[in-house]
Amino acid sequence: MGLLLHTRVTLQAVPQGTCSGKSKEAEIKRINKELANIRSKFKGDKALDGYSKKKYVCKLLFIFLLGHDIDFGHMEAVNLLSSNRYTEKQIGYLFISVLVNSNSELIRLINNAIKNDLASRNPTFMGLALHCIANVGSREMAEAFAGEVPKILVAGDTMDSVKQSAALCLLRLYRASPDLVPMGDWTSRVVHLLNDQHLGVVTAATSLITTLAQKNPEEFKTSISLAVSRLSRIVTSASTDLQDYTYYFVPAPWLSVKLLRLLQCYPPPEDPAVRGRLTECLETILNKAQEPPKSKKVQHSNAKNAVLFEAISLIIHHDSEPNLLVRACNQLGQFLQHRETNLRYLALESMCTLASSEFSHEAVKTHIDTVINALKTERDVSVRQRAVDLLYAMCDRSNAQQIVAEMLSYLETADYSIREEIVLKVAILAEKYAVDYTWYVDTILNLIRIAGDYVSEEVWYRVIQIVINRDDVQGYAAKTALQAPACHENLVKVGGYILGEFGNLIAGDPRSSPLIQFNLLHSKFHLCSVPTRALLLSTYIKFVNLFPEVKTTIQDVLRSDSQLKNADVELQQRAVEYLRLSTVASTDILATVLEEMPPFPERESSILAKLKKKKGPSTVTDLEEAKRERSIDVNGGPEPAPASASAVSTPSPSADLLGLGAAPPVPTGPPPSAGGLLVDVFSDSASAVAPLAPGSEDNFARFVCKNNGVLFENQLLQIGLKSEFRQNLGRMFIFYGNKTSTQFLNFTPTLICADDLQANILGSAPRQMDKHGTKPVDPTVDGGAQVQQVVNIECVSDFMEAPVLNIQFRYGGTFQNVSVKLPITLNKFFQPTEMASQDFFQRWKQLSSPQQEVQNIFKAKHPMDTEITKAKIIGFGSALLEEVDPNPANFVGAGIIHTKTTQIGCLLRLEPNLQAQMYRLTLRTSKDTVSQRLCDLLSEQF
Amino acid sequence: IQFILLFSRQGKLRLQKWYTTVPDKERKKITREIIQIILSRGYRTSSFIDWKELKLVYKSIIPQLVGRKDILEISLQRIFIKLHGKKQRCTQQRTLMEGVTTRHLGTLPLLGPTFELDPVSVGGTLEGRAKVENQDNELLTLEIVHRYVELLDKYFGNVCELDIIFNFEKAYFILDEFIIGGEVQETSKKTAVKAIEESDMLQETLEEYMNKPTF
Repeated sequence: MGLLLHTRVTLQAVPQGTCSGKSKEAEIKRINKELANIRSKFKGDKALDGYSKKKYVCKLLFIFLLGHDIDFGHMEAVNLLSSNRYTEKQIGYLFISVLVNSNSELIRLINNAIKNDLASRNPTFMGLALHCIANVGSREMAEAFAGEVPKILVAGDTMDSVKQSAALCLLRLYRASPDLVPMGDWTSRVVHLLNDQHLGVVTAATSLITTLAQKNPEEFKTSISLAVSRLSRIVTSASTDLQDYTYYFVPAPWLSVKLLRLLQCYPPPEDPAVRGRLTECLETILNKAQEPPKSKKVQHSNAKNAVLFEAISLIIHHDSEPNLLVRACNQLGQFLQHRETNLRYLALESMCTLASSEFSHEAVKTHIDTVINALKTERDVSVRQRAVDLLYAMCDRSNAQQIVAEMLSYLETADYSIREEIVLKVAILAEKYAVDYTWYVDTILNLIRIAGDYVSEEVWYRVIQIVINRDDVQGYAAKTALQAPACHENLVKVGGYILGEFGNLIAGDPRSSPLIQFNLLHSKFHLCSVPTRALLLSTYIKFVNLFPEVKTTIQDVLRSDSQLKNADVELQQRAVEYLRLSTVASTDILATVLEEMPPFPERESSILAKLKKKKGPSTVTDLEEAKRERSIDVNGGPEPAPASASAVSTPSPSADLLGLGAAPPVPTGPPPSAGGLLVDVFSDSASAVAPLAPGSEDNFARFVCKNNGVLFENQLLQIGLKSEFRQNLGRMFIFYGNKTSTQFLNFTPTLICADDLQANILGSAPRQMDKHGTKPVDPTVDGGAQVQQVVNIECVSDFMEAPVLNIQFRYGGTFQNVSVKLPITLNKFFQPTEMASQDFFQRWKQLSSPQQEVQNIFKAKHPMDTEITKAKIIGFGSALLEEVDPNPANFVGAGIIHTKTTQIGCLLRLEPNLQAQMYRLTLRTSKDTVSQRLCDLLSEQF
Repeated sequence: IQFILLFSRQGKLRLQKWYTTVPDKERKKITREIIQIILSRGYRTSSFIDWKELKLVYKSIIPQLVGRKDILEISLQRIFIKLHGKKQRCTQQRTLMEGVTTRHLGTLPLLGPTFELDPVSVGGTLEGRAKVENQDNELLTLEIVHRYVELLDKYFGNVCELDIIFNFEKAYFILDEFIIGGEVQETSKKTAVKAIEESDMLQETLEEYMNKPTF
């Protein structure tokens, strides 16, 4: 007794310094004194008995928990583990789980002690050991015990309390290191724990099964019916049946919620009897919500509603019973007006998922006024944020204008922490549901005015993409941009870009004459950051092209010291180059170089990608997309033309900086047959098509793993390609170079392709000249000149045949007819997918039916170089997965082929055999024709 | 559940339990930030806060005490002076004190909010795990806090902050009986506390044994 008292008194003395208001220093002094005392005890000559050891370890722990660092005593704590006295052991384990980190050198000693306790058959000791494993949960622990714990869990003679601890301990190990927990015959026995008499065991086991089933659904499928019958028994039991497991008159709420969570790992049960029973359960839970409460305590309503919300999640997850979905929606509607803030919050959150179901979307929409009201009146920012989320989710064409207006007005007073997200949401909704694009432009400019600081790059890039792609709104956008009163820098960027492209559309109005436009922009110039200034300089040079009358004014600006000698390299370079360009180039060349930007290919909005990134885990591809988009857009420079000039060599003798010098004016005139044309293979024009040019097959194969280069070349003509693909869409620039000094006449390229691949020939090169589509079409290609054609491609379904490009023209009186295969192959529509080793093998297993796999063994045609092979697999479009195949010499890839109708998951494996100079290529996809086609394409590459 | 923190209204951390591996430095940072956020919340707000990728669920254990801080301070002071470290005496003293001042203060004279939080790891684990896994039911998480306090109550017989300070090891043991690895192990009040009481019995027997003079 005396000793015990001593412990307490000393411990008590420690916080005394804190509590009685003495200074922090006094506390530290007191603690240091105590630490010195303990250290001397540990180091003393006299060996401490277990009891004293426990006492001092406990004190150390106390000091640590007060927030002070402890750097000794670990060894003494580990010693306590091997004590036979429960309390000493307990303190030892507590110290270990609070203070020992996983890479400690002591881990071997600790593991040893745990091993002994697990083998002791003493339930209290086993419990302590299992708690410790779960508390530390490190990889070393998993390595040492992942085999042992499952055995304890399913052994017939294990006590209930130990089973519970073992189940959750295993769960912790599985979460920390899933690869170390071996699946085995214990899994089926774990499922049967759902039938256990002891509700505590069922509770613990359900958590474990849920987590395992998420990763291995097939293996735990039998748990569905067991879970349903268990749930049904709980739901229908009277409130007193379950004794101690009833919580404030609610029968086993924790277990109910866990069972409902487990069922969310699966689709609705297939067995009609099980399904019927589950529907009954869910109806009972919904009915109970309407019953008067059995207690006024908040615990009662919380527990009851917890089960209700979980049931609603399951209903939404199944998304198959319209009746239940609408009932769920009505129930949540009641909660929206509940006086408990927590319930309003959860109702908003839950409705958000409900809004995406086709059965309940309309029902959710009826609550729009309540939600808007919540946005305006809720005092809690968490709740307001949920309201914003729900408005976003329930938005469709019918209410977009109202919702966007409400969000915009909320934005003016919104919390700073959520502004950026609201900005993204408004931008996405405005674009997605814009019927009238003037409304879109107004909304976005408003957005920039209200919350300019929160408007990220992606948002204003997107406005510009849209304005450029839509002729009908360009004039309006230019006018609005000019009139916008506020001058947030982002607005200057948008204004600068749009006026540079479309300022001419409003120049007729004396209120927006070229000079007024220029002066307005330039008045903001000195207030802007470097990137914006750079953009404005590009606008100025575009003005030089659009409005010859302001040329001298602009040249003066460019010539001024603040530009030509600007400290910033980028600005300086732009000023010098633009000034030079404006002086040396003829108007024709200026018009070519400073051509209006071509339409952007339609693709997923980068804003959407950004929101996804903000809201949740994003895929690698999204990131890449954002980057790529940026690199295209930010240049803001006026030139796809110079890029193309370098892509295909032009015969001009002295190509200077921009390929201008002696280059003759590029002739105009899209081929007569090529305006937004969709040609199919069976059309009668096919008869006139020449057989494929010799050697074009080889060239074709070279393009399977790359997108740019020269496709075809003979003495007269060179055809170069530049292409980019995104999901099921693509865009290809075809450059035709006339290698002779004589004109090509009646130059007519025609594209022939099958139905499942649509390629529209969009515009053709001469577009450069007929900026506004006014000049007449002229199908001639001058000697030494190059014309460009844009082909937009959409993959409708998977396809075998590549389209054929047929070119016909007259050269010096002879008729020329050339056909080449355009390298548009199925693999171009690959999106790479990164995945971990176990995911890969799980999918590999799922695609094991004989039609899904195609294998090819072939001789290497090129030297077998690892790096080149890797580059080819990446060029092929799939992700290259490292550390997946147990054999490091093999290559493994994964990706998704996007077509308009479906997405096809693809896995590939390439096994080189250096000695035999052979490869074995295996492809598994969810569609047999795709496996075959990809295998054929890729086999040719090595 | 990712972690559980228990702290006083003065921002003093009284108990912390982490169910995922977080480096010590990071823990301190997270704790500091969270305590600040929670303590600055106004009244009648919801019990949930979106914080980074986590959702914080918190519960103030005796909200009705705010404004009566002075009384409590005095009571605590008194307990403190009379406290001799023995469980029984501590309880006796408090019962006395309750008779005088705090009967109407509710049953849980523990200062400040308790809370804990939910989905996903701090600092990002595997992608895709975020959505499905560990997304606990918010309301029940709230009740976990309540049930834990009930367990403490049952064991200490009306728990107060000082109990947690001086018998911190018991507070941890009780938590371990209730929750392992972030999942509820045993929801029955009887069973969870029984384990601890048994061990106490063992301890007392042992101590008695130890203090017997040996010949």
